[in-house]
Amino acid sequence: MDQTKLNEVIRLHALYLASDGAEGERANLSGADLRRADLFDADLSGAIRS
Amino acid sequence: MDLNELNEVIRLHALYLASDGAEGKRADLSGANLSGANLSGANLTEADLRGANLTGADLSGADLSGAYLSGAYLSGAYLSGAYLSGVYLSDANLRRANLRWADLSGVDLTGANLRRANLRWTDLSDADLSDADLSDADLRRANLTKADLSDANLTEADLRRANLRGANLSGANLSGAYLTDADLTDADLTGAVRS
Repeated sequence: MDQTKLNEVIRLHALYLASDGAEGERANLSGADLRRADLFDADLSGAIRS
Repeated sequence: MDLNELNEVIRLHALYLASDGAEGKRADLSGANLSGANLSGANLTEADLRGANLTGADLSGADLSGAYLSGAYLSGAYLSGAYLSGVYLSDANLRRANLRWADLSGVDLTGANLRRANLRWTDLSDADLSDADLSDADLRRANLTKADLSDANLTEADLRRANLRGANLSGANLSGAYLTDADLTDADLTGAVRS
């Protein structure tokens, strides 16, 4: 996943968190390689990771 | 406009949308005073809100797709999480409005006042922000890919980690703007001011 795609996932996940699931989309990062990802200012609490 | 009148306009508008115009009535709220109104979750698709006063209104989760908000007063309004695809916001006053995480891709924001607006993480790709006032705006991590920012005022704007790939910044004023880790690949900076 490139940074642009990842930023979109993070943006939609933030909306998901802020709207209690009514909007946006819960992030699914299972299998994603995030070793070089820039996660500054990203809130990924509750994201799917495995 | 009192609350009962507003609820009736919204009810008729929903009917209008559900019946493809056969029933109900398209909302005409142009010039209406709706300051501080709670319109969260309201369906205002294609509604006419030109020049309406929505100062401080709560529009979270409202559907404003294709709505006409040109020249509307939205200072301090809460728009994070509103559906905004194809909305018309030219010359709108969005001073200090909260648009965090919103999808404003491809939206017409020409000449809009976005001073001190919260545009953190906002998707503004392909948006038309020419002549917009974005001074002191929070644009951290905003997606401004291919956005038209020609002659925009970005004085003291916070663009740290913003994506400005292919953006048109010709004639833009970037005095005092924070650009740490912003991606300016292929951006057009012809005549941009950076002092």
